[in-house]
Amino acid sequence: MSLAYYPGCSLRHSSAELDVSTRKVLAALGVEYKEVPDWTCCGSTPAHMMDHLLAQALAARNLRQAAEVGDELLAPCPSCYQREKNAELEIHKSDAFRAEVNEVLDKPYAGQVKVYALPEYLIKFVGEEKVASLVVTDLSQLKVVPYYGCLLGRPSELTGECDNEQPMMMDLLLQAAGVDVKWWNYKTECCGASVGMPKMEIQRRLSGKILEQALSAGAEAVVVCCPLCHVNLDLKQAQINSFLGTDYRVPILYLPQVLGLAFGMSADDVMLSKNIIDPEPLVKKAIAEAATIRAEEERKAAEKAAKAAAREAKAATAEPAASTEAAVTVEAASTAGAAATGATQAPDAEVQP
Amino acid sequence: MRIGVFVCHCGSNIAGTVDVAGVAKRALSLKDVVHAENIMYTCAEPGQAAIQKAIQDKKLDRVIVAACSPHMHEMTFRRCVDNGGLNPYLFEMANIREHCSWIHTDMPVATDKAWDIIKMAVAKARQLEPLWANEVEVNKDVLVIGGGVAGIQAALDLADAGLKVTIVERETTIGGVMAKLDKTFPTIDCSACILTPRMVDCAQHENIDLMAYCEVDKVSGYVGNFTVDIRKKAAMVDWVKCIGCEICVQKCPSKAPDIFNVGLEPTKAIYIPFPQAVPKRAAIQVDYCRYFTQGKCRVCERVCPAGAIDYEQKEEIVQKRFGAIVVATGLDVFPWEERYHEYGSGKIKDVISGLQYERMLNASGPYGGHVHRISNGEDPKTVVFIQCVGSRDESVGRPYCSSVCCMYTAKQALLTKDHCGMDTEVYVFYIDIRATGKGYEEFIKRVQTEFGVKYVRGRVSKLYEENGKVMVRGSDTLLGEQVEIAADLVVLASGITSSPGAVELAQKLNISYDEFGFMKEGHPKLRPVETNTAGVFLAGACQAPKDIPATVAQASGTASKVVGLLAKDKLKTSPMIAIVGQKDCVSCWKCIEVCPFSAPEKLEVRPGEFKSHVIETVCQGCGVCVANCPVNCISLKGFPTDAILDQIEEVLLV
Repeated sequence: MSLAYYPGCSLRHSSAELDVSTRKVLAALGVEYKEVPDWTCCGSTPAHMMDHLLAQALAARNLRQAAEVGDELLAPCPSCYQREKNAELEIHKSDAFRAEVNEVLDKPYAGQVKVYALPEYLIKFVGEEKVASLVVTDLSQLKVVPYYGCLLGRPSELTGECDNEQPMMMDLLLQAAGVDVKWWNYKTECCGASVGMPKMEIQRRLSGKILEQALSAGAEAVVVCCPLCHVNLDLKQAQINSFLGTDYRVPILYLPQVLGLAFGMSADDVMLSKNIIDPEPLVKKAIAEAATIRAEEERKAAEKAAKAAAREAKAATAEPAASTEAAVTVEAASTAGAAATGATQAPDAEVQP
Repeated sequence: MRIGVFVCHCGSNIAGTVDVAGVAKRALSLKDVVHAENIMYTCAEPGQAAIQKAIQDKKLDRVIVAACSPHMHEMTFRRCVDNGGLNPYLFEMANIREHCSWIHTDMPVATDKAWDIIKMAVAKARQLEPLWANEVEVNKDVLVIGGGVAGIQAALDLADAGLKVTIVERETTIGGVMAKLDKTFPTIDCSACILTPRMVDCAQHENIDLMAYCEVDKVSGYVGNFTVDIRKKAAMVDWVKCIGCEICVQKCPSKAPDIFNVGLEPTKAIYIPFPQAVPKRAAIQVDYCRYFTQGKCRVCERVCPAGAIDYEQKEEIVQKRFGAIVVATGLDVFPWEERYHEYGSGKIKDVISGLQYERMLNASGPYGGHVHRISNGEDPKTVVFIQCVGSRDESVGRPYCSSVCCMYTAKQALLTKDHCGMDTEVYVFYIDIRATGKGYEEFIKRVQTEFGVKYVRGRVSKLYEENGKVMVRGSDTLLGEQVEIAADLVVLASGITSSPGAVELAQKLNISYDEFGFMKEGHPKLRPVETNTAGVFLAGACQAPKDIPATVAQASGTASKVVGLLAKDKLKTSPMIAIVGQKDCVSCWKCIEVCPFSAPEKLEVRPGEFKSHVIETVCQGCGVCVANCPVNCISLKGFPTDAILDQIEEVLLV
């Protein structure tokens, strides 16, 4: 097994934070990969709307390039994933179609590269336990909803997602990372996609609805995988607000950004500064809250232990020496509590840009 | 040997593609064939008369009818030749309709094939020997499996006819799904009011033995002589002593899921499903009982005035013998939470199933008939019904129509207006309205016009929560528009599936079932209550989704079939069964291994020496043992091996 990594155009520029955080998370998880050498366009929207063969050939060229460095291809951008997966399925199924595609290509594609989306790859080949084992920062107070959009789960014949109405892969990964994942029934609704260009009011309305649903589900941030969803929800959030007369300030995070933070990476590591609605205050607040809660829990536990010890001591002997012993225990416990509070401040500090 | 061949036109069914006159004439050229003719409708009276006349006039000793499938008319013609004075097993059928004329369009090709089929039938007929049916004694007791309205109706009809009936019901009370319903369509009469008196009749009938909280464990035997092991489950309550006073239920401290109320509100670990339960006896759900899970409590034991609680009770097996079995295991509601994630996977509180809504509407339900929002208890102002949830939806593996949802939804829509006031907005999303029963279409019209329920033709694509409402997003395909309704309560017309355990029961009874777990009838039109296993009959929704009138009609039909069967003191069995040539048997017991009916047994022919022996009354004549016997010592009467070889030879040697 060897993994080829296909960034695609969005990850080069507009969604560089997705690229950077994905690479860092893969490294942290011990997943080795090589970037597809000399990769080119995946055949996204303009190509596959106009010419099927051209679109498949564009995707096939990347499969061929990927075959040089790996058996699996990871495409973090769901749109690239769709195009490459589409080509994989059609070409691998039909030798006749492969021949047709190869006629268009400069050099033929003869391989059997399997294409994976990011959540799919992590669930299938890394696993939730591995993700959970790397968690060092307590994100239990970070309330999020995972937003899958359309490309990760549909159509099911292509993605193999058995239930595209209620996908769970991002939910499971985020839960493994210790994040507070809220349930909502809006995971796969349309964000407006590229309709935002010709008909901006449609995108404003649809994306606005997603933000509204996220908040009413009790989330404070939305986690996505798709750069286009990110653009619609994050970059255009101000336009949504002015169109709908709302006042949303909902940070939109990429899945690997959240995983990276949970693994103890800094805000810079996962490029939080690139997100338009600044997620940093929220992340900081969540980490601090978690620390406070934990300190409080530890204090209570220590108090309880002290009381129990005192009771025991009292029961064991009626001598006055017992009370001194209990006092010592209480002191020790409170020191431990303080130490714990100190420890939890460390990741907090790391978030400082 | 004198063989007669009768080639049927079947109107144009056969004559349209096969030159029937030509083949009939040609048949005369075959060895031993002394008579051949073509007849317009052989199964009709003139056709049968012609066969009988030819038997007499031409002294025929074998008769071949080249017509339809033996499934269709073999029995008809066996009776015909029997009445004509010939042993019925000297008759052979050549299927030139289903196997030939219906599947070909080219006349010369079809005629050639028909000729081959007839030649083969003649070859087989030469090897046939007369056979005589056996007779077996008949046990006249009947087992009814399932105590819903189907089982109740069948049992009462049978008991009234003087037969002894045992009802086996797996819940603690009979009544089934109908007992859960509030009102029934299209008359809006109270379901319990018409059902509970019949339940009481069952309990009090001298000919009915009611075995509630029991399951069928094992079935063996054959028509007229079934042996059934019935497992009496441990209720942890002595039902002879229990008086159904419900004091234990009131005092029990442990909560448990309420299956009868479809999980709307919890019940107690010791429970009686509903006030009119028959028998009205308590049982303990041990998984939820504090005494069984934590080792202490025994509150019910302390408060029971009858001393009926018995924590040591064990389940037991009772063996009974029956002549016939009626399967009436009913239905279950489609588990929509598992498949309709767009409707919230069961996580949105104010989205409930149709059966849950019945319990909400019902005065003896957990809310005393108060229709309200589960989330906050408020009266709903807008109620939306969604039809075809788990029906007519291939994406969830349910392509069939559940047949009752259009009507029960209309009824529930009407009752909503009745309970919550006429100013309540009620919407029904539908694909088509199927209202084919008596008075059904009129009922739908009344709901739409008189009660002002708004029908929207289209599916709902999404349910989600917003500002405390359930948002219903769907399409109105008549207007070609998207619609969005803010609802207070959404009721899903969840479809009908087979009862859990139906497939396992069908396997125990050796009857067929379809891919959805519904039991298969003997013939979709002509044997609608029989199964392919003699002596096992069907009633109600275990066969296919159906409403109460159809269920009751089928149950009565089944009862009359059972009465007809058991009216005889002895039953004739088919003589076409396997017989072991014990001289050659090497006692390998392969036949015992492969027989699906457990017909072969080890028979001690002389001390210490065992040979295979087929129990005549058990054998169904399937021939599996014949094909498996390594020394060819088993033969199937009516299908001699030589006859089959001759048939093959006839068609291969031109």
